[in-house]
Amino acid sequence: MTQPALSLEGVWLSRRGVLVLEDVHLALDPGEVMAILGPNGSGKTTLLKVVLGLLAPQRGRVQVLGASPARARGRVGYVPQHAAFDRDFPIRVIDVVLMGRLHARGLRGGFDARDHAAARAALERVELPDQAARPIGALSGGQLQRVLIARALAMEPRLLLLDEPTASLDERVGGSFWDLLAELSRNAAVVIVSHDIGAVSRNVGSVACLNRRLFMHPSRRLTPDVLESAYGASMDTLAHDHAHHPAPPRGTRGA
Amino acid sequence: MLEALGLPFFQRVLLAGLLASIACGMLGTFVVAKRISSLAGSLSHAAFGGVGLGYLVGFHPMLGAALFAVLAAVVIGQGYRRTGSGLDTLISMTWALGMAAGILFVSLAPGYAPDLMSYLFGSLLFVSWDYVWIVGALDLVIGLSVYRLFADFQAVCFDEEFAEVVGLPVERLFVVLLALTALGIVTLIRVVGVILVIALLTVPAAIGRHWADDLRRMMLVATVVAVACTVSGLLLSYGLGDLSRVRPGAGISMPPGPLIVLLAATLYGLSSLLRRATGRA
Repeated sequence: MTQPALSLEGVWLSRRGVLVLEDVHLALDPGEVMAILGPNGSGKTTLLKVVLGLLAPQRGRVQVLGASPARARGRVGYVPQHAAFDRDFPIRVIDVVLMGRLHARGLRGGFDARDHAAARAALERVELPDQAARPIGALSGGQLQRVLIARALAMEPRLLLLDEPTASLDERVGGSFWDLLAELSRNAAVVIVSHDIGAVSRNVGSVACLNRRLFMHPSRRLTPDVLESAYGASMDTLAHDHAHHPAPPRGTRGA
Repeated sequence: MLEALGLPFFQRVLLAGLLASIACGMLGTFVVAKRISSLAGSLSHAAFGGVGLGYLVGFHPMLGAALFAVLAAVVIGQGYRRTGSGLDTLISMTWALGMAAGILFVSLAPGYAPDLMSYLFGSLLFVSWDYVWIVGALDLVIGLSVYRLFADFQAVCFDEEFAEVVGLPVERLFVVLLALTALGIVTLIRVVGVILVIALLTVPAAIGRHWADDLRRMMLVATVVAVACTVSGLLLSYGLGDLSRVRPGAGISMPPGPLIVLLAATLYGLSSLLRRATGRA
């Protein structure tokens, strides 16, 4: 059996006295693309931060690419929903994307030709090759989001976490975004977090619903069509009135 | 006033001011970009506690200043991401505690401390060659560190969360950056004093931000502006005092520190206007 890209077992987490994650179990195989759906405030971003090792759960076990979240750093790409930085910061697009190469640098501390090539390639994949020298303050919201995707791609990650990636992408780019994702999943496992059912397309291998607890839906039982009929149009009031399948024990998935 | 340039003592003063301005341009850029000028202010006021301890115990006040400023940098740097809303309190407390400790130490020290004012507002006209060497060495340390760790510092200042995701030791890097800033501040204390340091650290960098879209260029502009302000402030201070030689009694005694800060603030105003006029704002 191959090592799972990500596994969470019995993860509990409270923040400021509020229970955010309750007994979360999750397993993701290499190359698998999973969407985690849930309304706003359901703990989706918190779950990603646990995987990234930015938040420590009170209980449970988290294994990322066969290691602890802290040890997996540098191999896990992350595209945040909201830029955690100051839009007015004096920095150019290429320097932001090069941040994705910080872990891959040699001992001398600087970026070499390989790092620059990886950053340029990442910018090309998000269709922004001509924006490299622009200051980030001059970009539109959608362009900035693509720069953040490029930064995660430049890491050449084995696991990629995307928080609401389609939120500010326009339709045209939205389409090519899914192509990009399909291409990526050849080398990496991908987790996409969204509150928007429209973001889930045929490229997603499996779907899980999060609302403090996580419910796994093996792809064969739950196609986007099934989901849509189960949830109706409004994903904001995600009601779990359909039958849920608890996360299968490892090794039995897809059996 | 330009004949001052030929005087050996003034050449020494200029060299000291010039070297201190270089450290200031490099570090001020990070301080302004990360918006931590109040943090930097608290480091310089913490340094004053060390000045007082130096008087009391009998070692060089600048050594005490460096010790206290670096200690404050380590404490605040470690608390920076853990204290959350308490950060503001931590900064203000360090700020006031440094001053309080300095004044208490000085009052306990035997005899009157005659050049306390020089630590508060600067005393560049009375620097020794030793000081020039120390500032030069610190410039070298700061310059090499910034060169070597530029991408790391930039990442930590720009986006701490992602810096952590790629595996940088964010807290350690931030403490190192703050400790370097503390050392830079200590060199500036001789130029403009504890109270005015924050202006010389941030105003040239803020002018740099007007005309640069990345940290490297911002550093370049900030350093040039800091050097220009320091040199012209010194010349002006000397020239105003020297007027008495032309016409007895006409000389005005004006310390260079406040003049340097006033020049920098004026330049900032002009730069803002020019920026608006050229459509960059």
